[in-house]
Amino acid sequence: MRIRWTMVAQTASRPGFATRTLHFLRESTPAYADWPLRIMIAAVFLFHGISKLDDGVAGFADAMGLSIGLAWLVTLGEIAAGALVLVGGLVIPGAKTMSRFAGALVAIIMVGAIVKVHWPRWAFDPTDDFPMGGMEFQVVLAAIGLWFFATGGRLVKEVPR
Amino acid sequence: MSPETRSVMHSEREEAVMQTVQGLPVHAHWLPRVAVAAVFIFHGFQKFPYIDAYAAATWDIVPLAYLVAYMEVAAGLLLLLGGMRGQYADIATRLGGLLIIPVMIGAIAKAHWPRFSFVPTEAFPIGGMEFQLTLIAVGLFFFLRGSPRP
Repeated sequence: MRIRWTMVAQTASRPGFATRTLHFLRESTPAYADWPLRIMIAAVFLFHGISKLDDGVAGFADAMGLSIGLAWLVTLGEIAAGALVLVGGLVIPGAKTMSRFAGALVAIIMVGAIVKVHWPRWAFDPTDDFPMGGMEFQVVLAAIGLWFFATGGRLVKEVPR
Repeated sequence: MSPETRSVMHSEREEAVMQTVQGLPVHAHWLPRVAVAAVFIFHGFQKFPYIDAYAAATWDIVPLAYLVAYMEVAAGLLLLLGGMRGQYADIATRLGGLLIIPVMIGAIAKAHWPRFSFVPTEAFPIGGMEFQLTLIAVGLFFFLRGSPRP
């Protein structure tokens, strides 16, 4: 395809072009904008939940110093959060509630991980004292989870300008 | 005070609390904004004192190292500014989200590929790519979403 640069220049130099572009951008918020977050939360939580099943939940319980019941609860909670955040994106009855529930699970499990493993280091790169790194990844996941909890994963407009 | 008055006052207070709770989703965009801005402002500023060591550890191009550091700080600040009021809030949010993506693709290509889990190993001393992919997802989210205002 041949780009007609004179036309591009003419369009861009018309009066009000920048304003109209800004206005166009401001009015275009696609309803699917939440899907990147849903896909990544699902990938992370399904991966870690299913890895715990693979490697043995008892080993995870030993390593973290948790009771076996709590370790199972965390594992199943991670898998449920990953599944529900995907199903909650569909246009079906109760989708918002599923997203909220998944977000709450994500936030609770991440607070547990931070308290148990990562606090008080921030940076994700590991040190001798923090072999699993700091808490920034878990803080980001918890923030996304709380966003899902508060909004149900729907795009809520911000305060009026 | 009659019981009726007290019950009316109580319900009014309850109503105010309910209105606040129902209004909370309006402010929920600050959660991912602040978390991701904290990550990028932290890592951006952290690079400046050790910029030569950082350049040597990555592509050995000092201007590129400076560009990455400035892009990280700018992405964080733009995401914070994008949550505020004003004509340019929307474009700030979108630009902040967009800046995250190339920086994180570079980080994955240099240090994290092909491991997924963030847990570090001998071969992957700073872990796999899931954190960086999550940051790309948040960047894409803010790039697509902007700052929608009624």
